[in-house]
Amino acid sequence: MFTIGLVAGIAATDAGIPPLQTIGMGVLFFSPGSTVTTIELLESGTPAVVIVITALSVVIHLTIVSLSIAPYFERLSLGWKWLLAYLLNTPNYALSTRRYEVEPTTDVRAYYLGTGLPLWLVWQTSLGVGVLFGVGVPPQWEFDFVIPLVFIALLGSMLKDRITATVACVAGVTSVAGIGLPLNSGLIVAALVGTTAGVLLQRGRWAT
Amino acid sequence: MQVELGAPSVWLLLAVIGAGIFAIRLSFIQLRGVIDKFPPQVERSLKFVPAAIFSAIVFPELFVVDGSIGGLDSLIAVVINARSVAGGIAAVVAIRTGSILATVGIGMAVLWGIRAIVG
Repeated sequence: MFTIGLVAGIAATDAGIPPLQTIGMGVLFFSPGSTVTTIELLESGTPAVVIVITALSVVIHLTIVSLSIAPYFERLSLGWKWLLAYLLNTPNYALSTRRYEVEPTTDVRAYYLGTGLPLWLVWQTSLGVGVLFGVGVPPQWEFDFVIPLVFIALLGSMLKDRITATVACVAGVTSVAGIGLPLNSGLIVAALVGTTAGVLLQRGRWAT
Repeated sequence: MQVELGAPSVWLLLAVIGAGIFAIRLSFIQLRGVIDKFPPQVERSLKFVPAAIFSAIVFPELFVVDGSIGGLDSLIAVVINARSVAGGIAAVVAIRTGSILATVGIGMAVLWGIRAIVG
């Protein structure tokens, strides 16, 4: 997470996004995937609607995480639910729910904050340090390329099975083919086509 | 509506996305009991989405030069350009090592190397 924050901060500043707005993204989103996506799409001049849809789709799987951790938060007050929800990311979810299962007497709030807050601090700090570095990076270094490289790194960790790899290929090729579509909507079309391909492949495998 | 970098309206955009992400996170914590479980197929489909989006963003970055993929004559130049080569090598590193630092570091090193040689 620290590496992503660092390079995202550098790349955002390099792309001309004001430091305060990058820091704002860190606090408002607290999501590496959405932050990197928004930086990339802002830089390429994508329409606001497409940026919103894409940045939210990147974290849509957090609904699964939310559903899965909900039983443990059931008895908490509304304020706590909102605070803990704000901090919800896959790493602290995984650590917390594992602990809750093994050790049912665990203080739900304390353990969750113990995993979530460090994550939050690391993310904000790395983004801030990146922004500071980014001010001094000359444009001819092509530092904007680190954002695609971060996506490639994230993809690399996702392509564990053949269906996901196919999803990525289909979405990528569709995206290149859809370059001319109005409002940069090729991106959304490509993500839909890729996901649909995954769903169909999966169904095909289950049928046989 | 296109957003200008650094404009005050960017803050509005960031606030909307931030609120949306919060709503996604809060969703079933708040709506506890509405459903017990996602159907397994829906759950797996949702997990495909990030891979599809990241890939849809990356491919044009690597293979589209100056806003178009061009005609057949320029196709080779498009497939073999500094960024696609660097990106391809970075992809191998990403799958082999799983390290973000190694992927970004080697990808940038290859890009700079090609620029230094080819100019």
